[in-house]
Amino acid sequence: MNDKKRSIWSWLDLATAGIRFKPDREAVRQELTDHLEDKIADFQRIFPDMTRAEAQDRAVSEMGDPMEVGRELARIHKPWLGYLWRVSRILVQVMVCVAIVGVPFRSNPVENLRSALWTPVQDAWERWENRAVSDVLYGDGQPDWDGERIALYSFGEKARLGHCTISVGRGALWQEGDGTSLYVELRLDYDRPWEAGKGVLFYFWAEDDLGNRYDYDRPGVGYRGEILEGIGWLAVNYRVDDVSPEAEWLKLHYMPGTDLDLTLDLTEVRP
Amino acid sequence: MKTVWKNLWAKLPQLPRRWKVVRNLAAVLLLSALCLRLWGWPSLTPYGAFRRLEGEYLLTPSELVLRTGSGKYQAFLTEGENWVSVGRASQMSSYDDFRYKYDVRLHHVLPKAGLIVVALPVAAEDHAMVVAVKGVPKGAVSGELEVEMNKDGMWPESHAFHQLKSAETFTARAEKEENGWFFFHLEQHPLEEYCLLEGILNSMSVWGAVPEFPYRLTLLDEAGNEVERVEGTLPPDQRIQGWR
Repeated sequence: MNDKKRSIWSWLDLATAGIRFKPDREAVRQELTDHLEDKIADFQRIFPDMTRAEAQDRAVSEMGDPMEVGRELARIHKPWLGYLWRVSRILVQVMVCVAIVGVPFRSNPVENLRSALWTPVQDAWERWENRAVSDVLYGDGQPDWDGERIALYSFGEKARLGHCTISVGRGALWQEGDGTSLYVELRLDYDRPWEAGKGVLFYFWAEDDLGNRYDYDRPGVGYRGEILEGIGWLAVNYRVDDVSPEAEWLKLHYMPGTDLDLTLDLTEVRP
Repeated sequence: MKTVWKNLWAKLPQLPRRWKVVRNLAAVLLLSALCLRLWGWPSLTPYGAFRRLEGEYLLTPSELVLRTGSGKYQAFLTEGENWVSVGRASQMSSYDDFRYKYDVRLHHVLPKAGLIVVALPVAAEDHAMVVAVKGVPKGAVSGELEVEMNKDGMWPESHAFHQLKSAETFTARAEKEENGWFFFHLEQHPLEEYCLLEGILNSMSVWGAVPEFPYRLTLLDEAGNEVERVEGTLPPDQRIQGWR
């Protein structure tokens, strides 16, 4: 009996030896074992006088040459896909662990959850607020500060600096208190979205044809409203205080050494 | 519970192995992107972090001229079309989310016009402070630089503050490089136990630029004759900072 059983095992060993990926080898072996068991049961059902040992012999002989079956199985079951699958499973498990342990939710879960939920609301609010400021500066909105618009411009100027396109859209000159302030829609579009950052907005400066310089570290040179940002872009209502109403043009520059030279014509007032 | 999950899993349509690999790799990519997004797309190298800060401040394209330091603290001198910038990247641990990021600073952005004399805030491999010079008059091929240093820019708590001399002049000579730069290596005093230069470099090692020390630069031609003598101060720190 044991010898017979051994003959089934050795047939299975020979037939599956060529499958190099172990999980596949075990699965195929199980499948072949089930198949053999079915065959044995069939023989015993069809020939009730046949002993189990005889049925096993017959079943094994009907399965064919184990070497030939083994070669065919080895051809079908390529190991690299199995290894790749196993590696991909490990990678998924590692990444899940990294995501659970490594993401910022561990340090302050309440604050991070609040931030994750609140930030989109805050962004939407800032966009709405900024649109309201833009409506007042260049449109029909009513200011909630002491000021009166004295000129409106449509510049539509563009320039390249580094890997970025800097554009100036609408503009408006406002009388605010004793001085005049120029507002322009300034937008930066980065070729490389990952380089976008708000800090850049603090280093623009301007000069006019009357020889006045509006340096970036001077009070009154900055922006009104919020800085809007998206993937790879920033937009702001850039502000220059105390611009002379007699100035015919204003040139927008960036840090010393960079060659941004965006000229805004202040003589072409939009009706 | 485990059996319930197993049964549920078994009820799901089973994909062929090839598609399982595709699904898993897609999940890995998605999870990697999620983690990187939550970590703020951290830079992998100090110079990568510095380049990103340069990109943010529109100082691109630029070329690396000199790098000092190694490992966690590195300083860079880069040259753009019309400007020169000096900055650093220091690897710091972020207590918010248990990872390392780079504190990157742009200390100086200088127009490439006239004489440029600028010091790198991280010591070179020979433990010297490197002062880079460009824009010298034609004919100058070598030079001598004297920098008067003092303790004013140092933290009183920093390395052996009270044992250091209050002021000292450091001198170095350099030849003109092929790219037109001079790199003066101001060396520490090897025999002194407490050298002012070492103290200054230590106190600058993480945050600061080299203070606005006065310098005197003497430029010589090939025959050793004096071409020009210039006095000035090292440029102020522009303190542009990023966290990458």
